[in-house]
Amino acid sequence: MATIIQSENLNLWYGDHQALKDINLSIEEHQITALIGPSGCGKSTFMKTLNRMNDLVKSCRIEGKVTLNGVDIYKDMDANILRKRVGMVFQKANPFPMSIYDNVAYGPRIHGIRSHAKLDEIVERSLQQAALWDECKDRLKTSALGMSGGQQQRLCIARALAVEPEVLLMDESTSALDPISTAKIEDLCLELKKKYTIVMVTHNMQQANRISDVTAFFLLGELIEAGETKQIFLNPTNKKTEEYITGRFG
Amino acid sequence: MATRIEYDEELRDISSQIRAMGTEVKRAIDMTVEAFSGLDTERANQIMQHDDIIDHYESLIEERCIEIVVKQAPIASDWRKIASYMRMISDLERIADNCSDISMYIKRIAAGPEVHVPVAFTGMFDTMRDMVSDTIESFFNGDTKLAAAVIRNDEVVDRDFDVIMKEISAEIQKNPGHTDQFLDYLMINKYVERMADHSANIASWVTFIVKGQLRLQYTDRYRKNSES
Repeated sequence: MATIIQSENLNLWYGDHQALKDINLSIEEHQITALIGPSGCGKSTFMKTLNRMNDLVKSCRIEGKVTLNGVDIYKDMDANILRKRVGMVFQKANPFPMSIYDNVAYGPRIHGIRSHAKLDEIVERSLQQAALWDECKDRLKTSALGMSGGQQQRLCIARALAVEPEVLLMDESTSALDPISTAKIEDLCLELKKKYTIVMVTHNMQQANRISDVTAFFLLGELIEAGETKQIFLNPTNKKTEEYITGRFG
Repeated sequence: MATRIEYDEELRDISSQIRAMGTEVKRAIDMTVEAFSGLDTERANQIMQHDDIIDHYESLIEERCIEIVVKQAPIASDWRKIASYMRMISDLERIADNCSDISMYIKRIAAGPEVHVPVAFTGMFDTMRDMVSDTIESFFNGDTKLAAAVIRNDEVVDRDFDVIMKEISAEIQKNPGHTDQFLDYLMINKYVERMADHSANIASWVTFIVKGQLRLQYTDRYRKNSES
């Protein structure tokens, strides 16, 4: 197993407020890493540093290093290239107001693919990978906004996969979904990790326990504990982790 | 602000019910020792009746453990406790069953002619009784040292078992007319040895509760036997 993303002594400020403190964490390829912690602990902020989404925040200042396959993503990588390699799916499904086909083809078109045959192939492959093909192959030209919430979220996953990223970031991507849609996305993640690396932020402890290989617990901007999920949920090393995952965090 | 107050109360309540069950099991053992040493059939009947109380505790606690798993989805130390509780009550219930099994044989022995009682029984009963008491204490206090001592004592009981078995075998050869009586003692011997095993099982879960490591102590013994 190889490290695909590495954060080293990562510190981040929003103005005067320090949101991340000396984060050192390795993300291993073909694993699902769950980031857990109470609201405001820094887990989403940390995730956004992995594809430089924080660049869009004016008051944001970063020290330390994040590497993707050994390359410093803040010094030696173009943000657009980075975001192609590290895709992201958000809490709320955000399909573009266009057809299912065009949603998936959007990224490849931006990256210069014009061939219809090639785009057809990418759309089918991405929807297959997102376990959505069978449900929408007969209505690819209809609006994505007519899909159910669970389908829309899988469409967003398909859209992220269409540009063939190496890493998929999922920020509470099932929190607005019913249990069946959640289960479909969880099954999908287990399938996708064979080809991709997944980092997910979740408030659902059972979800982190069910599908992640590694769990990292954040609190007040610090990484308190990271380790094999089985160990974290059976016998966490740190008392604060134990208190948080058992719901005794007051 | 404290959270999960009801959940914590429920866990404490289950724990105190298991303690109460443990007290009843220890009482059953005390009565068994008494019935055995005096071949007291009245006492033996009381032990068998007493078993209903322990069975009731087992199903009550089991139901509450299942309910808390379904409702609260316990993890980490909570889960280690609940999983161990469910194993513990099963072992405690088996120990109480063994008391009733022994009582049945006490009644059969008392109804027949008097025979020589293998001497090692006294020590074997005492060691087993201490093991049950210590294993319950170690369980609730998270005392891994005491739990390890319980597991070690299982070997003492195993040695007593072998000594008694040889003595019974010799007695049967000397007094073949009393074979039935001695076979009843042999069964009691086996039941006491099993009670010690159940105590060691409970002790092995203490390490799991405290450190999250499973210690399957009986695996070693079977391995040793298979290699000898």
